[in-house]
Amino acid sequence: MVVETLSVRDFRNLRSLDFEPSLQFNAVYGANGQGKTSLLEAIHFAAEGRSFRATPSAGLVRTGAKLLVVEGRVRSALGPLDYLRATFSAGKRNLELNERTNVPIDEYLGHIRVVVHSPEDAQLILGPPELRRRFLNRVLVLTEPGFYRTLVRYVRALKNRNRCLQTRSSRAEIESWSEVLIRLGSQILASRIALVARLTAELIPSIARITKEALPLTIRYHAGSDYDGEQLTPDEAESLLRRQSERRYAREVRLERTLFGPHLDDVHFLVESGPARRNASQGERRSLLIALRLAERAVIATRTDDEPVFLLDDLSSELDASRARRVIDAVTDLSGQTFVTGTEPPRSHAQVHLFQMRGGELTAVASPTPPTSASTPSPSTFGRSSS
Amino acid sequence: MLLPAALERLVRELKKLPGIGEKSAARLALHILTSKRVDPVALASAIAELRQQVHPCPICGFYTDQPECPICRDPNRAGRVLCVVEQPRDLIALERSGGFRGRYHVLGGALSPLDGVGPDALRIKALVARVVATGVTETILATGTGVGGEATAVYVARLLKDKNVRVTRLAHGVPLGSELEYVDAATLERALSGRREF
Ligand SMILES: [Zn+2]
Repeated sequence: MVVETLSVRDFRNLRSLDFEPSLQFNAVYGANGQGKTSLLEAIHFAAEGRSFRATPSAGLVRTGAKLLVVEGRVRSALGPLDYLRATFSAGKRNLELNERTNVPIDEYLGHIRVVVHSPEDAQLILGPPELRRRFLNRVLVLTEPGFYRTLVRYVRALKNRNRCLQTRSSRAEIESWSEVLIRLGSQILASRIALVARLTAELIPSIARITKEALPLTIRYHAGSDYDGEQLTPDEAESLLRRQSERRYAREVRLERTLFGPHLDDVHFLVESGPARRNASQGERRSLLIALRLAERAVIATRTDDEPVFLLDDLSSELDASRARRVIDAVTDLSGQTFVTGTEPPRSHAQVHLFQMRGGELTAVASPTPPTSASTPSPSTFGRSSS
Repeated sequence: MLLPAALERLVRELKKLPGIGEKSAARLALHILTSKRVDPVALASAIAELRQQVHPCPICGFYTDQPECPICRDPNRAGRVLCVVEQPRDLIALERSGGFRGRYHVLGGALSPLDGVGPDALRIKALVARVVATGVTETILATGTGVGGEATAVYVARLLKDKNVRVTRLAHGVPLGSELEYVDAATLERALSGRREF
């Protein structure tokens, strides 16, 4: 999948930008605060109707403007050309697909699939379980037809069941909602466990590509104390949830909320069988996260038979020079379209298409050799970022 | 607005109808005012008498202007096979398909705790009583495929578990409930004939 053209209007500090990226490797460099990250966010907004950062969409509209518009022409490996347009104004988002307006999100998604790595990924290790569940859900929405609908139905059933518990409905009524929840929940559970297994398998080669050190890393899906990490068929997932629902019923009635199901699960990143948040250094965590994104990328590519677009934001922060260089090398080897941002252009890659971002304006830089800056070039392929 | 009071009043009433906004209401009101084809007296009395004469059938819950509806009275219909639907419009859709020769039970909706709809707000007790009293041998659950329709089907099926009646569900892949009325006859018939034990 590739982004062929991109137009951005009033998105963060990008007033008006028209971009024809390379279909392979794009490096966008410039000082901090010039709009590099905004450009990647805009690509993500065109793909999914929201930013990859934890900013509410209202905060994406450029100060002083009323309407943000991101539009682009995208192409998939086999499919036709699609024209995407996502706008946000006065609290309302509108997604347009091939000139049809107000397209529901589940129809809109998947016309261009992106994988992002940004410094905010640290939250995947350090933040609450919700972020990790969302990480899995997002990959599944992009790769499994019907998963989005199952998720929406699950949430609706969950809210109804919680209301039953709050209003002390009869056990018979609560159990009829349990049944619906168990059926939908087991599909989500089985899909997530299978995905974690695929990600784990891709993680080892991904780690090897970006770091010399051996990082004995595993990912484990956590679905309550009576689940020990094995693969589950949908039927087995169903009986696990059924067991849990029976065992926890009394507590549910007391606490007035549902205490079983995939909305409570978590994913554990383990380094040498200890949690990564404790066992991994900051640099190792960053390597781990980049490897995780590479694994995500590989899984999406395999499952959809199409390379997703890879967005790497601010690679130099938290990563030392040699690590950053290895990542760049690994990423330039990938066959899909990639966008990388940094404070300085990467050195010595002939196939890199360079763009400079300054004050929200993007300029193509003709030569792949970086223009010499006043100071001596940083030993890092990308300069250090202060953000 | 500059509309005469009588016109304004009609617009206000029409706007309460589903899918009718300010503009459509005004257009309809003006049409009623001027059209030669519309007989305002006939229209008004048809509306006024609707609720006086039409009431739910005490047996199945469908609408009728008789003590019991024609389907419940029809001796040629299999009284021991019941099709359970959410709304009268679902019954109409199934009847249009012509594929079902049993009788119906209209629940009046589906479970939806978030909207305050529990089992007591639906005609579920009446259904169980009817199954027991009339010796129903099969109950086909044709409630919707939304989560509420599914939960309702589970709830009803459990109540009927020890009532010596076969409980089936319409074949999957067929939209039910609110979408039922848009399904063509052939699809409905396939759903009926492909029904499975629930
Ligand atoms: Zn009747």
